[in-house]
Amino acid sequence: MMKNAFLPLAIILLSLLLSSCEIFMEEPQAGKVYAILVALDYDGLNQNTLAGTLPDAKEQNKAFTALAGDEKYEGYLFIQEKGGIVDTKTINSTPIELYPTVKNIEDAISALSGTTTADDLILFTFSGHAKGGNIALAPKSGSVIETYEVSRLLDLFSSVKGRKLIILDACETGYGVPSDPASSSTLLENSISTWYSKYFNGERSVKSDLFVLTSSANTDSYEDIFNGKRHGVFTYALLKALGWNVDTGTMSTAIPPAAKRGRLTVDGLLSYIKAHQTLKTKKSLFKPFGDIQHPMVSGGALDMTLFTF
Amino acid sequence: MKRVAFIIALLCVLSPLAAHEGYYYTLSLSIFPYLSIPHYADDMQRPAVASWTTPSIPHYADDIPMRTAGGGEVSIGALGFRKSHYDFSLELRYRGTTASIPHGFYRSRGFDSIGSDLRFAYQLKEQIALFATVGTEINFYRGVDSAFASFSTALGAEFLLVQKPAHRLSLTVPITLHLRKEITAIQTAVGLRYQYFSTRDGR
Repeated sequence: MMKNAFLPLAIILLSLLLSSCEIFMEEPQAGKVYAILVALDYDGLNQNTLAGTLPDAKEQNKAFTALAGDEKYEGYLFIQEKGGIVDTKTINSTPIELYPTVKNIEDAISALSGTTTADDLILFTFSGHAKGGNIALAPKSGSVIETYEVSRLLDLFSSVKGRKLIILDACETGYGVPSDPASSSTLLENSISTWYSKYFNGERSVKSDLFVLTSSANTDSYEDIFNGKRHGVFTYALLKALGWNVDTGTMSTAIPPAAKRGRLTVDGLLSYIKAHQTLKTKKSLFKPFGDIQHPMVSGGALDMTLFTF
Repeated sequence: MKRVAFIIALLCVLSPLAAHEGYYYTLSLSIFPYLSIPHYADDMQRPAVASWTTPSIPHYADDIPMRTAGGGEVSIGALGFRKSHYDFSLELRYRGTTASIPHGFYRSRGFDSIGSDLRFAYQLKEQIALFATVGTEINFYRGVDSAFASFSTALGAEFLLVQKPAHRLSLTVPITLHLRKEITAIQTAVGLRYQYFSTRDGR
């Protein structure tokens, strides 16, 4: 009897092991890393000033440079600060003014779309104000901020080849995370009937190479002072996840703490940030008071690798 | 939905208390490789059909034909009935599926599932039975606060290992289709199934 049982079992298991695609198919090699880093302190604009946003973007730029290596990295810092000097850089032979207006950022993304390949990694970070899935960018002139829908930003990035990660450290940016056709965020749509209706709604799933990582789902995002330096709570944890030491302003030579088995993935970053950010992610019976900030990532069946070590 | 879950839970608890002949409790454990198969780009042209009986649509194209993960499953059943060659049960199930082996720039996310199955078995010979299950579950991607609903169906063979008046222990070899919206996954499991007959009529 036992012989009867184990023979079909052995055949099935062996055939499945042999069909494991991961073992036999060649892996693509990672290409270059491009980053557009946007930060506004809103000094001189009609919004509350944020002192942590500029250090956030500048240190993320250094951390990404260290992770990718100087020769494989191109970063573009779009900074708004009162009295700051605005640089101009050339992206794919298009001169772009590095000031965070809608036009400049759209021009930069369009210019990138002509230069990246499918193996490249494209990062976009935003540190500033946002509300209901709209980020607050600088005006061309005057002091009134220009709101910009995250969905419009994502549409623009869909024409850029490569893996894309959009990192938003601003209030209510979870509303800007695109809805996955097959799964639902339990932070925004926590209902069994919603989950079943998604199964039957006929909306098609496509493999996405665009991931969105946000500092909060539907709450505010906060800044805090860390050893005398002001940073976004989310970005401070993100920098640590990347291996960046905010206190010394240096990159660790070890594998980043958020990496697992030599791979730094989007989900790895999220898990690390949730575990290490200084604000709690949700209220509980025992901790019913105080600010919360729940980071969020776009849904779907896949996790995306950013860097390998 | 909460009401349905409550009624099922109540039935599970109360029904065996009647302790009729043939009623049993069961505990099943299994481990499996999990192969998730998205469809290729040309499948994107097919019309979407909103029915779990045609699970292959809609799907998405991936870099490789399938991604390999693994997992384990625990089922408990408090609503089992066995008579002659036939065996029915309603079971509650937890399934844990790991993230897939990384390949290229992507890997499948791991998830935990909680669901229930209806199970039917037919005794072919004294020591061999065939069984089939249909079920549904809610799946939670690990660490990313995201959930999705799905359906499962399995066909398998059951080989009797030990039989006593109040106990039966069997080796099970099911092939399960996990019917997710964007992925159809195949599980080929090996497991153990223990049945306890409170009226000692397991034979």
